[in-house]
Amino acid sequence: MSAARALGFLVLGLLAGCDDAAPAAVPVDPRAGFRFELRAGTGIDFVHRRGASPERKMPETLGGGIALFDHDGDGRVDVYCVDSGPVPARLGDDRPGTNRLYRNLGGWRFEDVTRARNASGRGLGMGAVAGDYDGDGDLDLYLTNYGPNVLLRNDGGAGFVDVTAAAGVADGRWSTGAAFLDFDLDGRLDLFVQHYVDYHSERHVPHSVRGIPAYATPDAFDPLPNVLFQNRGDGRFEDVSAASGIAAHAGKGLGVLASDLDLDGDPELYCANDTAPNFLFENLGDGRFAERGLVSGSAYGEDGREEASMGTDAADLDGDGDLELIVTNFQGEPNSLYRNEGGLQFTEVSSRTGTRAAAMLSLGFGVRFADFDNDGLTDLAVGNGHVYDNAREIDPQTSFEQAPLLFRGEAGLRFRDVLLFQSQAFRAPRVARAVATGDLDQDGDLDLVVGVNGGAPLLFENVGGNQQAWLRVELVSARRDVSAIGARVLLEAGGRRQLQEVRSGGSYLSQSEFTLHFGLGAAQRVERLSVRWPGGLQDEFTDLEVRRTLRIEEGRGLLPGR
Amino acid sequence: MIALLLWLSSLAPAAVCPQAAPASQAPAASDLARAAELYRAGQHVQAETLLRAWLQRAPQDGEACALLGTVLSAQRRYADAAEAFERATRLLPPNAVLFVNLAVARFESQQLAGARAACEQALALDAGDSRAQLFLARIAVQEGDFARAERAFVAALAAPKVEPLAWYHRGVFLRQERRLDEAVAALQRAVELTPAVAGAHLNLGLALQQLGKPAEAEPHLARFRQLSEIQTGEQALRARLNQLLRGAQRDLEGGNTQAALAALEQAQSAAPDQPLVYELRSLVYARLGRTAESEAQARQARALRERTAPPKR
Repeated sequence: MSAARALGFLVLGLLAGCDDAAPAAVPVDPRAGFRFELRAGTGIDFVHRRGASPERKMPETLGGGIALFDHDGDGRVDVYCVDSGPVPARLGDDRPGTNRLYRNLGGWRFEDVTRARNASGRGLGMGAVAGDYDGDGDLDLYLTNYGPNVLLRNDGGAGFVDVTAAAGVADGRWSTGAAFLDFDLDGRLDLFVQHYVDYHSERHVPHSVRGIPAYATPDAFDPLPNVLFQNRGDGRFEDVSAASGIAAHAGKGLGVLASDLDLDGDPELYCANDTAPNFLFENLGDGRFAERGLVSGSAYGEDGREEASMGTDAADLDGDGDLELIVTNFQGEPNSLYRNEGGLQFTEVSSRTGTRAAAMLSLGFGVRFADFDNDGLTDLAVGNGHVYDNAREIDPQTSFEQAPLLFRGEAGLRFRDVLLFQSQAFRAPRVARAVATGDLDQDGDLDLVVGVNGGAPLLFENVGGNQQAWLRVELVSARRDVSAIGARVLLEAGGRRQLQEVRSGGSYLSQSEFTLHFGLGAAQRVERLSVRWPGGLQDEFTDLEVRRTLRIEEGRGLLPGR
Repeated sequence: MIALLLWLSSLAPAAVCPQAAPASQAPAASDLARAAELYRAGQHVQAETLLRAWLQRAPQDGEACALLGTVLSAQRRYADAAEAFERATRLLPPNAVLFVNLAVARFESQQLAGARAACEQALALDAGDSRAQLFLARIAVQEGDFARAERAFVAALAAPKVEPLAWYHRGVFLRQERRLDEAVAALQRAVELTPAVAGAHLNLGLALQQLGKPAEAEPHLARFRQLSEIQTGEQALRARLNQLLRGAQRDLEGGNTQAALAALEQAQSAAPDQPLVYELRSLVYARLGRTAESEAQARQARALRERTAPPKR
């Protein structure tokens, strides 16, 4: 780097370093098309407690979940922060929850409504996912824990009610990722819960790397099978893990994605496993799943190595109407990007996407594909952070806190690194875990929220992304399920076709907003928009105005705006 | 307890070889040969220790720098390896192989421009260097210049002495290009030349699968599973063993000898050929005053150590 260029970055950094309640008036670099600025003074005073101990118990280093969802139906995305705290003496020991729910008041102001809404949960938290599992028009929450999980039913004005026991979804092992999905297409949301490893704090044994005390690696523990709960429609769930074939496969799961990867109308499950091959459970359509990770080409890296996978996401990157997959991996491994070839076949193409070199130098967790600059091409954000709190001691070339990755999507499945054009606050190294997106300030571009292990969540305002046109789509199913998980929207505008899908979970211990956000570039109209609902029904709309949020109800067309 | 800790530390990858000379001692000429020997025996950390000590005394020794680069590459410490190779290229007469080694270390540490430059230097010295062309191709793929990658792959495979892995990487590239028939041909050549490369079997199996030939794909996927399980099984066993032995250590320190014995029994059934486990059981039995059992375990450990000892030179 030349001295002049280095000085330029320094000046840029100093300018961008003046983060305050409002973003500094630094022009957006056209090479990025947008800039993330840290918002301070929002009223979110949560600080994640990792519960660090001298013994270095594994759950300490993996927490930091975030859920973005509209809990009160006011049209604004609220923020739910999952706390961890000290690891209990025994797996299964219960304790009051310390999670926090912040209501979005607009204008980057949030109000802590945890107590008023009874939303604190229980136990040592990992992640949170949302979904309207009871179809009553508001979003419920499922919290994954080290120990029994928690289902919080949203009862509107009455707040959340812990219905875990009645619903039968506590589980009790070490759960990480989760996703609501309608796997049997009966109109009710089922629940998939991913497990990490069979680690019991009461049997904790100190671990070291090259003689230096460190968190244990998952290799030292047995993998666990995941669990699938079928929604019976009466408030209870039935564990169908064995009957569905899910229980036949034990992994070391962290991120999970429920998505219709073979375009047959029902969702598959893709599980990112740490130091084990990733799973792709094909939905056979009769209540059973078949594990196709190896034969689909999505279980291993390009060279056939199993990777230490953390987070996952999917998007139609090449505009061919099916979804590519990404998994974030350990340092020294690329973030694997699997191009969907159709017929549940994938090709790992990360070496040709322009993301490999940067990813190899960091340990990835949360990941989001999203169009941050509204140019119609999908961009990529990855939160990084090592698992060793003393990483530098173990390897001087790395650190616990790591800078994120940010790539701008280009044509031909290529990405351009635009991290240098971001604010200093965005580029700063952190111990990032969850990464979630949502238009928190309702200005027509996607903001980013990062969950930090042992730190405060980071709310990044997207500045400049809304210079280009956009369209947002909110969906409500015929059963009044306001999450509409599994619905797909195909949009045509400006000569480009874009596909998006409503999903619960994904990334790493994250829930992003349910509203679908399309960047439209210079397009002035959306020529065609079709919605394929989970039951197979299709709704179609033509000649739509841009820069607006559409609300669509299954079979009933456009609903009035808010 | 000290003995126990010593045994445990010998399990760690960075364990210091007892034979390695401390840096403060004057290096002998034989140290360099010994470092090469240690490298060949897979004792990379020990080899590094010797080489670093040597280079403190003989910093202009290009051969030692080159060997250090090789030893560091074997530990996947590519950024450090690149530095060692760079130093070697300055100290030794121009040598294409050395420049390719430098290119590989730079490539693996994500210094793509530097890797490209090193490949070009290698080709200036030996225009027919297949490995240099192969890495130029792989760099071009990462840089998104697929036409340049294509040319370099073709050149790598047209070289007088073809790098066997060039077929594998060519096959992966063609699969990514969706040129599946060509990919299958290249990967079939790869599995002939490099049958132990698990990724070659995987990519061949997947290419055949994509071509709608699952019956032809299956043997390659099965072979991949086999190769892959061998690798991952060994890793998992090592980690599991470490965990059990550390548990035994903790139990012993806490005076819970029965729990330590139970952990060691588990370790023994997980790794029945590991002499360390028998030595530890011998130690625990001795502490419990169960002399006969202690001696039996010690005998078993000695027998295993003799069986697994490397041949004396």
